[in-house]
Order: sequence, then structure tokens, then C-alpha cells
Amino acid sequence: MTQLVQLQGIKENLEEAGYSLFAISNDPVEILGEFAVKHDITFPLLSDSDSTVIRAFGIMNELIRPDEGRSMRWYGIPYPGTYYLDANMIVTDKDFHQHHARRASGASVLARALGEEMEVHSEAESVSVSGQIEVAIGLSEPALQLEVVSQLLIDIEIPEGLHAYASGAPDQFARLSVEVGADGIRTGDVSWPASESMKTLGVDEAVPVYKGRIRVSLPITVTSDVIRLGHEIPETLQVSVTVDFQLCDDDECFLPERIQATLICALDRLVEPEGLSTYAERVEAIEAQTGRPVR
Amino acid sequence: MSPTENQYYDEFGFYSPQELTRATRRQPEKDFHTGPEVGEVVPSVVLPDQTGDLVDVAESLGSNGGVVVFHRSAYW
Repeated sequence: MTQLVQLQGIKENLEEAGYSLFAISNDPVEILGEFAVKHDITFPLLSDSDSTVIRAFGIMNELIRPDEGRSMRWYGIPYPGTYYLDANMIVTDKDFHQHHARRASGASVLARALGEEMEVHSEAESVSVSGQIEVAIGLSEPALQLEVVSQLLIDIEIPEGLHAYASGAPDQFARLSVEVGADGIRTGDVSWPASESMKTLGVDEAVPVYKGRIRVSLPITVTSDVIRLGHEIPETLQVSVTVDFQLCDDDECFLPERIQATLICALDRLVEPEGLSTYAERVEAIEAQTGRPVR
Repeated sequence: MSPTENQYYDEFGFYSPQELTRATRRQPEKDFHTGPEVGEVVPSVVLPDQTGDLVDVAESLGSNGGVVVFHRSAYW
């Protein structure tokens, strides 16, 4: 599955930073072994085949009945999510997805574990310069993948001596805003950096502003809409980003401006499509071979 | 039949030939259980890995800790 392959890609970075990596599912050992060999997975893929640990965590998907999807082992799957633990098994952070087909990308997990700002992947970067401001747009991964939550990263460089207005500034100022659009994507809430307060032109109270370089990010997912649009998965997806802002210095304000940029995002082939029939067939084959039920 | 027929769309933006009442198309409410909260100790995890060797997560954590990813399956 795509996420495990992406996680393999960040395993060494996590280990260098003193974190080990584990994945847990209700897959039988044999299925995990086969997958690990096929995709060169070297971190522990743990088999909770009777969902004991999943239940102990209290995250078993109880919407699936025991008699449903038996060959696929649907019953007993966890709600998909990630725990970040300290060295004493204490949760320091966690991230869960309401939809069981959606999951965090490798780069998102790494950045969250290390509490670091994500690196923009240079293969997916687009720079747009207006008269005064520079905007760089990128992705946390070299390519988007269906139902994997990546981050769209927008870096805005405000020249020295100037500021832009943040959320909470009075209506007379055009506040910095970001709009993202594309067919076949879903985006989450925009994460804004902390703003500064400053006394500004003609306003008695301090106003929230941004200065210097700021990083704005939002979760971005390619949905199965893209398959339906073209009847097969396209190679790339065009994402349009609109940044509205108004710059001022200590003496005057410039007119509100708009920067529009387009990011051509590559869409990766998926690991998934081979999975469904392979899985059911393998479960049946292992049962025939070993004579014991793995479902 | 065109590839777009016989598809069922859900509120998360997923199309699938499976009806929304099928097991894999049921999704929890927004406030679904997500297990131990930040600051809590997680239950003990001792499970076989892909080679069949037992792994005790508590014993295998790095010097700063670890990342534990729960997923539905390696294959689907």
C-alpha cells in the first residue's frame, strides 16, 4: 500500500533523529511478509491478526460486522491514524483520518515527528513574483497520490520594511488570503503562521501583520474524482493558487494585489490497484497451503 | 456500460461501484474514537512482524521515541 512504501522512504530520517517506526494492521504475517519482500520494506510491519492491540487502543472500526468482507479481513481493521510516542510510550501527538482510505504522506509524518517545517520538493515548485512580493508554491512530495494527504506549501517573502495584514486586521486593510482550486482535489484548512502586532497607519490599536518570510500550508488530497473525470488516472494535475494581499510600509499602503500561480503536480502510479484481488487470492492460497484459517 | 455508470459517490469525494451501505463504505462520525490522547501512555504492543519475530514496541523505541502507524491493510 502506498503509505507503507512512502514510510519506508522516511525510515532512515526518523531513525537518525532517534525515532523508530512501526506499522500495525490486522493482516496475517504471511501477507505482510510477501508485501515487505515485494516493496523492500525493512521497518516492522506488525501483524495484529485478531485485532487485540487495535481493540486495546480502542480504535477498531466497529462499523464493519464480523461477517462482512471475510476474504479481505475487513472486520477488525483499525481507524487509520498515527501516534507519535516519546521513549516512555506516552503520546506526544496523534493524527487520525475519518475515511479509512485516506492517510498521511511520508513527508507529513516525518515533519510532524520531528516538529520541523516541511521541505518543498523542488520538482513541484512554482515561483511567481509580483512587483514586490515573491511567492513559491510546492508540495511536500514529488508527486500527489490518490487519497494520500500531502501538504501544499506556500512560502511568501515580504520585503524588508513592508508588512501584509493578517486575519483579525480591520476591514479597511485587505488581509492576506490564499485560495486553492483544481478539479479532483480536496483541500483542508489553511495553517497560518503566528502574526505579529504592530501600530499601523491611522489605527489606534495594534494590528496583526506578517513580515519577512512566512510559510502557509494546507492539506491536499487527490480524490477518486480524477478517475471519473478522465476515466483513467491522468499523469498530472493542475492546481491553481491565488494569493491576495495588501502591502504597507510605515508611511503608506499600496493597492491590494493578487498573485495567481499554477502548480503542475505529477500524479504517482498507485501501489493499490494490484491489491484487492491479490489479497483475496493470497488469503485463500495461504489457507489452502497451511490448512488453517487466516480470516 | 460507460466507466462512470454504476458509481456511488460519498461525502468524502470517493467514487466506487460499491453502494454506500457496504461495509467498506461506512465511515464514522466526526467524533469517532481515536484512542489514547496526548499525554497518555498507550497500551503495550507485542506483535509478530513480517518475518514472524515478536516485536515489543516499548523495547524497540528510539532514544526519542517512535511513530506507530495503524493502517487497514498492506494490500488494499
